[in-house]
Amino acid sequence: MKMRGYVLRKLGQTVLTIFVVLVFNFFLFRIMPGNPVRILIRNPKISAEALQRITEQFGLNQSKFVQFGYYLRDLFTGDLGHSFVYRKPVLDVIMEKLPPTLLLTGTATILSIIIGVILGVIFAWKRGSKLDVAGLSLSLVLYSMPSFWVGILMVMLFAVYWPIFPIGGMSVPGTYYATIWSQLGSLLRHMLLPTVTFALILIGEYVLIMRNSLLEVMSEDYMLTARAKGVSNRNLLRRHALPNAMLPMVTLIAMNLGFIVGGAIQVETVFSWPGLGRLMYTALMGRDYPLLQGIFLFVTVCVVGANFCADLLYRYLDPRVKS
Amino acid sequence: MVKHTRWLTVLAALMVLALFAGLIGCSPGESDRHVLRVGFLREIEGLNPMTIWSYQAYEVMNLNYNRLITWDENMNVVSDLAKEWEVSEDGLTWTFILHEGVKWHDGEPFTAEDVKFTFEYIRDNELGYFVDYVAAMTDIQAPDETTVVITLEEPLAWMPNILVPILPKHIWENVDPEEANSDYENSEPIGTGPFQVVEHVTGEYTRMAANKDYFKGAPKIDEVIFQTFANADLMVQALKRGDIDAITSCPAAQFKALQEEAPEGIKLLDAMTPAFTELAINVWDDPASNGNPLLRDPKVRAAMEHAIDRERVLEVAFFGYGETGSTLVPSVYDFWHLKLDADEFRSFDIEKSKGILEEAGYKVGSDGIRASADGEPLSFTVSVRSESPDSRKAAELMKEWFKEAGIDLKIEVIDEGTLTDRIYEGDFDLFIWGWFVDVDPSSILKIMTTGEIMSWSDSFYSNPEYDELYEKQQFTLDLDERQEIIHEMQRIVYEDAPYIILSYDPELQAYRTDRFKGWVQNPAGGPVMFTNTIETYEKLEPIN
Repeated sequence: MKMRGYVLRKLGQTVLTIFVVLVFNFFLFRIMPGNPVRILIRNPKISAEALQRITEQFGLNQSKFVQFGYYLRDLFTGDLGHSFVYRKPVLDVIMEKLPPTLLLTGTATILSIIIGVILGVIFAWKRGSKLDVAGLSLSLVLYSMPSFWVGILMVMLFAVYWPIFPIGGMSVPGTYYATIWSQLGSLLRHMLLPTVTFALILIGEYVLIMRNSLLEVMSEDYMLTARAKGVSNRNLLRRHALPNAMLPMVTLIAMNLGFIVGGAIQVETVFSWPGLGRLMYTALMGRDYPLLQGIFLFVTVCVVGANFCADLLYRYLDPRVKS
Repeated sequence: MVKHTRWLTVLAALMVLALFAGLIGCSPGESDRHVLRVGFLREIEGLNPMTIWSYQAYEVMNLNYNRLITWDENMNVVSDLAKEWEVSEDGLTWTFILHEGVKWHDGEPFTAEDVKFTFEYIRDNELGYFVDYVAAMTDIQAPDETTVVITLEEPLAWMPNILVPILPKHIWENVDPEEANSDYENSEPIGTGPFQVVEHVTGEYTRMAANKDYFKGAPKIDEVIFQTFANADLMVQALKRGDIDAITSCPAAQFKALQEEAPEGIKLLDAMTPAFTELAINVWDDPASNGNPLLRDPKVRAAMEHAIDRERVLEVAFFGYGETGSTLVPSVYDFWHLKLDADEFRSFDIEKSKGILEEAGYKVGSDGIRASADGEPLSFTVSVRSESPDSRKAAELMKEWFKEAGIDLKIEVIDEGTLTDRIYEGDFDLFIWGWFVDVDPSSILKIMTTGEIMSWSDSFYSNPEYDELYEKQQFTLDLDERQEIIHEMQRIVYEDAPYIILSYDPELQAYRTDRFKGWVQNPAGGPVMFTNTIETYEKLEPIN
């Protein structure tokens, strides 16, 4: 009963957050300078009637509030609008670019979480050692490096000086692969540099949070008690320290989920990776309001949704979260 | 938690393994196919000729479809789908004889009915950019399979330059015109061209396969792939590595670096194009104009021009590429371009600039800025596009020179969309932007006519004498006579200076001559790709 109330309340908050962002996005794009009709047509020779027709077709002759009403109505029927640039439904355009982004950022995130957590635990456990100091400094360096710079460095090293990897893109266009394995191989070769770049940037953050969180837990009284009871080091870490230290990680991961769908604009640009990040840039340059709005909404839903899941998970992971 | 950790470890191990597999994974072999890979920095937004607008998408269209005519390297009109043509004495009736045995990509025969259909479809539904070419056709007949007879409202000087891709009737008659003008994707475009789109991945690449039945002879390469890069430096590296064979619209900084390095087997082409960059001036004499009224004084504009060192602008802002500009029709169109005499051209001379302003009554104030007799200071704002760092540099240079002449120049950086809106509202003093000029000069001359205000015009220039000449040249069929009129029009605009044309712009291309031969520059001295014709693609041969 309590649980149900909690879920409902959280759900309410989630929906409300999404709605606020929705309203904000809608009006934000409409106060941006520039007349969308001109961008839509790109042909000053067009007749006045045709101009009128297109203005009406996109509902741009209505007041902003009426337009918002239409937007909401369409949204509930799953219609995110129509891209100005691609002349296709926004949802189709987003869905086309989503898999490459998920593949890149998803893999990088999983890799960085695993490596970050493991390293964080090791450094915390060996606190104060040379390994810890070296690892900590490296993490700080990684954390503060701009991703486009790391990306360019990776390309210069592994695609230009030692041309082991492709320079960018997701495939060699127009190649016929003998087997699915060689196709997969090609994809992995293309994926490796951008994935490693993105993972490197994330690892630093995860190591730092994991290490600090574990250190904090290790100084708790119950750790001392457990140690006094004769719990082995291994079990001390696994049963007592880790479950508690993982809590901030859940928050961080949930927050980073936004990055996963939003793509990494910089990494995608350096590696010409055809994902959502670059789509966002193209949409911005082309003033493709419906597409921009669609991407923003999509990212919002993912971030807020991930946080909702984290909240629920928290209750399960941490019995202290009750009210 | 324990279980989870173990599971994650296994997953991580698997992933590392997979990555290694990828490393070792064999690289694709394609020795038996000859693929031309072209890189550029833009996305191809679509395949429907009626809605596309970028230069890159037009190149794909030009390879996929043919027009009735094309041009040789001297800009003479030559045969494409039309074998020959003739015009009646009164200039009203044009008869085109088409090539026989031409086939659409799907094997259907191409006939005069297709041409008739295309022109009528575009004319009646006002489609795309093409409607201008067919709007004046009052009657289009196809008396037999290879003859098209077009009747015009009045004789038109630019005929037969009908820059319209010919569409297959059997496909497009089923396309709702509303759709054609909006959402129709045309995902498998059927044309008559040397290549046909077989794969189009938005934002990534567009793959075109050779048309073995091409009526001018099968292309000697098997495929052309246009590839989008998000980063200029990496695009250049890809060319050097041999991942791609050609680059078009290479940014000047990267081109300069390539030139210094001079890599073997790569030709670097600094080609002339029919494009120019201008400093446009708001000369709109209307209460609705938000431009500084002092700019309506031709003396001020002349003084400004004398205070610009075009050579230096080219050198500093445009990395030394291109050539200095002057009149509306770029020098690459040799026949129509008006070459000014040395005494007509307002060359860089700040003293002269000061003299003109002094004489016109603009006296230097205490702050070094000149002001009119009414005390209005010569203080202007130039808008430059955030998309173009080069024009910003040009503006910085001008600011210094103008200051010396006693004119205050402020620089404002805004994005293209915003600037476009401001231009249409007449809400600007000066801006730097450019034009790409069609083979026939009509379209560029048209932007300076009074009728184009609130449409193509972006300086709001108006001169009845010029408008009259514009009408006249449209209907003057004698080439030399028309040339004279067009020269006169350019002289008038130059004298009135609503534009200060800074440069005729280059197209920087780099391509591998160790892999392919037969690159054709068209027009002479022009680019090998992304130009008026597709000769390079028709003639290119692989080198083994």
